[in-house]
Amino acid sequence: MPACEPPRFEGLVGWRIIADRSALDTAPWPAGSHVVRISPDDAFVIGAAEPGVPGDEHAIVTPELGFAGAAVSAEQVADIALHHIEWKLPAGPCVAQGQIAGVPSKLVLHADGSALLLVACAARHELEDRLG
Amino acid sequence: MNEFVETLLDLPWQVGDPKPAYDVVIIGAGGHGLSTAYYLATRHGITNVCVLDSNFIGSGNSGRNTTIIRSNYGIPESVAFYQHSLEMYQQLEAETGCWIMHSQKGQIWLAHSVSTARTEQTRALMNQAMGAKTDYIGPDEIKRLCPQIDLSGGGRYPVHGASYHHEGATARHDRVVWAYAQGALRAGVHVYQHTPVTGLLMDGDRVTGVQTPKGNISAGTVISAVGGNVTTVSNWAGVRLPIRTHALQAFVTNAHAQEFDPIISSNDLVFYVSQTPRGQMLIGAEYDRFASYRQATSFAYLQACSKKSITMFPFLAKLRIMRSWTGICDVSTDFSPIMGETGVPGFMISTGWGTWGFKAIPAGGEQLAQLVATGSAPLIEPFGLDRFAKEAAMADPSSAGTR
Amino acid sequence: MLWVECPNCGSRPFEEYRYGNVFPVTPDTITDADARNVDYAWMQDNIAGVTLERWFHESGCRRWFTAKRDTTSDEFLPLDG
Repeated sequence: MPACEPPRFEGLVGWRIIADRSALDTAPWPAGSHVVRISPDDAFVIGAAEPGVPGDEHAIVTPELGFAGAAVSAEQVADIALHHIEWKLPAGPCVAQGQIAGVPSKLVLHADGSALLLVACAARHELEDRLG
Repeated sequence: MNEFVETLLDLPWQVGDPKPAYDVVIIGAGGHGLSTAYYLATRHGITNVCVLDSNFIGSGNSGRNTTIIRSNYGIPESVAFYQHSLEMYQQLEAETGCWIMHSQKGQIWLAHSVSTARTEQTRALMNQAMGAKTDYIGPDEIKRLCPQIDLSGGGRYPVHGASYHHEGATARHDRVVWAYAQGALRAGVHVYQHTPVTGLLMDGDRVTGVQTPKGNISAGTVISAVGGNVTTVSNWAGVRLPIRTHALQAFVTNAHAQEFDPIISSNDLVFYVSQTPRGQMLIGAEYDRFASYRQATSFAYLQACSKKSITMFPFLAKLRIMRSWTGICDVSTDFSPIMGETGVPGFMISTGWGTWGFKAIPAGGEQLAQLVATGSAPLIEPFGLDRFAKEAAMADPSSAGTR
Repeated sequence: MLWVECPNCGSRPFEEYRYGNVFPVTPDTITDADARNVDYAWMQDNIAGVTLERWFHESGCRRWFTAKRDTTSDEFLPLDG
């Protein structure tokens, strides 16, 4: 069986928000943006428009250019999980974080099994090497 | 008792139970406990000494280390102490008449970046100033000393240079323990294996002896030479220690026919490689980051350590891991050993041996014996437990664990 | 393989984490202020048994959390247990 196509990364433009967890839960995200919840008080919002967090006046909202992302098909996700992920991959939709091929990465899993693979820009080539 | 030890060595073991009282009782019959007893008896004529161990002699960390002897440490007091120990190792076969398989190999600390190259240059100069033979050498000289090395470090860890410690050596760990056991027993010291100490006898603030399943034993001085579980013992005396117990793993491969001369360590990659007399490649690295008393080897460690060593020595990829082991190290907060008085009368300690205990066996025992016998041991004075309260901690940037 | 349960991410191999030591506890028997400082800065309880300690999920959500672990078996125990 031929190996799956390796993921192709591109730099992402977005916003990093540190705020109260309930404020993040209820924030009105700009249309067309994509929200990756890294931890209860930390979100990465992919999209050009600056988001606001009305529920927390102390929220930190700052441009985030530190992530690279690759859209991966359900087949690629299954291939990566089989060869490069030691932990149990949860069923989507959700954000699964941990080491992939030994590199800290995030998988934003969609309901259909496809996903967005996120990695810090500094580790992008390392992950590409290891997955390729 | 351990059959292996008994058939190989004619040790004059005591028969029966320990006496009810001794001048000195040492807890722990590993390298440090036995060498302390040996020097008490042979250098100071104090033979009314008993060494107790919960298992057989050398069954703790003395049997679970990587047998490297070196003195190229990072602070002057340490270099002076370890250099003395290294020189005592060179004389140990002549003194005890036991073959400890001492083998001078030279030790190389590789530097893969400009900043670590500077660290190694500093190490070499400081070592020379304190009497240890260390030089800074370039890649050509490294290749000559060790032809198997990949100087490009797999393209990622190019070798800038190294400090070369000429007198770095190895010795067979259990033979060192047996040499001291034999010497101590012949001088009249009592050694009782399988005799765990279960508590200390206290008279007010003073430690006056130990409790064992074979009865209480009173002592003028109790010395803890316990590895790993030292906090349990010190808690009995009410002594607080700056010690955390970590697991340290190491492994050997199958025999490699080609000779591999030096002991090689990498400053940036953090691993070390040497060859045992049987031809096996011995590989180890830093201790596990989290505190643990569990003597378990992890696959993750073997994998990471193999990867690092193959980066510098591609031939290792063809070998197989044959055996691995894990010791539990008492790592001190400032990465230097702790020897001497504890502040509790009648109770002395030799601990904090982290990853540097084997190389210190002769000098540690000699100096502690001198402290017991004469009340003064200048070489280990900086390593007292009171250094923390005196704001004189001995943070050593060149211990294997300090990164 | 040792597994650590991150409250945000779930169960992951322990290599993804950084160890943050136990909560320092200076015994009440030490009363002198200077001695308490020395104890806080340097001394360790070094418990052989169940400890309450901090872990950092470095490769995942990058958040600190509190965990209960038996240092003699490296087994992680439920926090409320």
